[in-house]
Amino acid sequence: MTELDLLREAFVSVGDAEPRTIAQARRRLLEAIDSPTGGRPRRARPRRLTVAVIVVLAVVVASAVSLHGRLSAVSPAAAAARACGDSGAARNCLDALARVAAHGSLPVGVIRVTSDELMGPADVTPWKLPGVRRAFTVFAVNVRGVSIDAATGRTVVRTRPRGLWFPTVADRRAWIGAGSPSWPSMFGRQPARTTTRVLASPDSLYFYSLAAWQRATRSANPGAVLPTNPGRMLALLEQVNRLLGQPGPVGALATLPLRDPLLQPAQRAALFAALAETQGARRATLRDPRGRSGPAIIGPSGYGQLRWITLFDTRTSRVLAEGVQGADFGGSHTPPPHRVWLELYPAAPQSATQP
Amino acid sequence: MIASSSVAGIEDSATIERSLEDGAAFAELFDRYYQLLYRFLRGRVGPDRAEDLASEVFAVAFRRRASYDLSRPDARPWLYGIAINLLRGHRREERRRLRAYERAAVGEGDSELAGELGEQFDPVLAGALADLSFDERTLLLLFSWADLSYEQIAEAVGSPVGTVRSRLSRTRAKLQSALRPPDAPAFELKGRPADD
Repeated sequence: MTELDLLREAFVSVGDAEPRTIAQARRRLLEAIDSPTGGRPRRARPRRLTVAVIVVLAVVVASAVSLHGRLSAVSPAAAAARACGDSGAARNCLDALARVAAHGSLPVGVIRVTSDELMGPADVTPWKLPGVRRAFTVFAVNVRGVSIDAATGRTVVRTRPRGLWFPTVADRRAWIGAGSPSWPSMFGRQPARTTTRVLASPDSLYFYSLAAWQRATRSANPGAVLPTNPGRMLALLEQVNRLLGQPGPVGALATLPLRDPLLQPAQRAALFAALAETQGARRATLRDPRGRSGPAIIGPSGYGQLRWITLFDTRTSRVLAEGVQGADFGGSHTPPPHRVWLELYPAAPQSATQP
Repeated sequence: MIASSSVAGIEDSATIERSLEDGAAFAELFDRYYQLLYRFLRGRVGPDRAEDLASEVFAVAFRRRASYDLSRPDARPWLYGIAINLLRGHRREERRRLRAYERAAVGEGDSELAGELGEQFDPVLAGALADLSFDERTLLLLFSWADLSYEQIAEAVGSPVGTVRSRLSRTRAKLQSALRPPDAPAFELKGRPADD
């Protein structure tokens, strides 16, 4: 018997997943597919709900336009945060961002957060698509909008595939210059399908971890009860980490509630303070695919060499972009330098209106 | 039993391509490979962690499906590659478990832990596996447990095929040496079937 036979014999005794386990895992995947980042095809919705959603979205868009100017003011605290974009340690940078957050104002009414989900770089090569003249690397993009009604706490999520995203204007020009086809000519029609969902809780803001946040805070709406004390915030993050069974530091978790537009300024400041306690986090000046440069915090994820990246707007302390980087994401499919931006937010990622 | 990359004539790459437009199609990949991935992970880090990690593999794969190379019909190397990246964060846990199996043979270990894998997991083999590095163990188990070919392993770990071949040979020799009783002749080194 060879050593391979011994190994295979050992593997025979490894048990299968129980049906309950499989069902739970499948449900979790389907929830992810059904989430705003999932790109699920539009489902039939009752007309009444559709009308309600349209009304909400109309209010949201109107509010976004009317209050756009409110976000142009630059606070004195932002100057220190901006300075950390050029130099300084991660901790100093996060402390400065905490001060910016603490001086922010709490939006009320209907909130809108829109982001572009970059589905990862895709190689478009002549042999894959007819009409493409030479190889290009493009991004497939989903546009995701999250709207939260502050009065009811209801969340509306809207996802729309938007087609190709070129990292730079030059890339787009090169594509056109090479006589490569447009999205409609490749795929038959403009990707205008929209998926709209109304959620009872802002799960999309917490990714897969909402249940753990709810258990740790003993609240269906964790964002409403997050502590404002940095020490308590850190303890809470560690508790959520334990509930999720993650071995890693808490920094990656702290960035999740930062997307919640309904957080109090003091809560946001406490999150930044907790984030500053993350061991192994470092600051870097990075540029996202939209060409926006700023201070980014790069921290360990707890998953091997995978590290999370969060790019901040020093003017508002808001998250501009999120991504991951690592030595390798799984075989040969990820091109170097193994840094992938996953989500892009507008410079002023929230708008608000009085109810 | 090894799952095929083609179910009813549908290749994994076709399923993934379809899921770019219709996310729900990705569940087909789950149905095809969840059990495989789960068993591979369970053999390494136990049932509880395997549940989480196997689930996470598909969540990550779903998020990253747009970057999948559609010229590759079999998605298993890609999925195992993701699983291994997730496993890296648990390599100490894996080694602790292997040491527990090893110690269980002399009544020192956690018998409940050892019972999970059954009596088939030879304590000497567990000890020998624990002595390997994470990367060596991964290559060996992708070969013997996941039944991937050299080319597929290379794809999963992102290394050249030649490197995989040589490292796997060295690792097998290392394991043979560790398993060989003192004064016993070396195991016969059997190659893979020709179709691998």
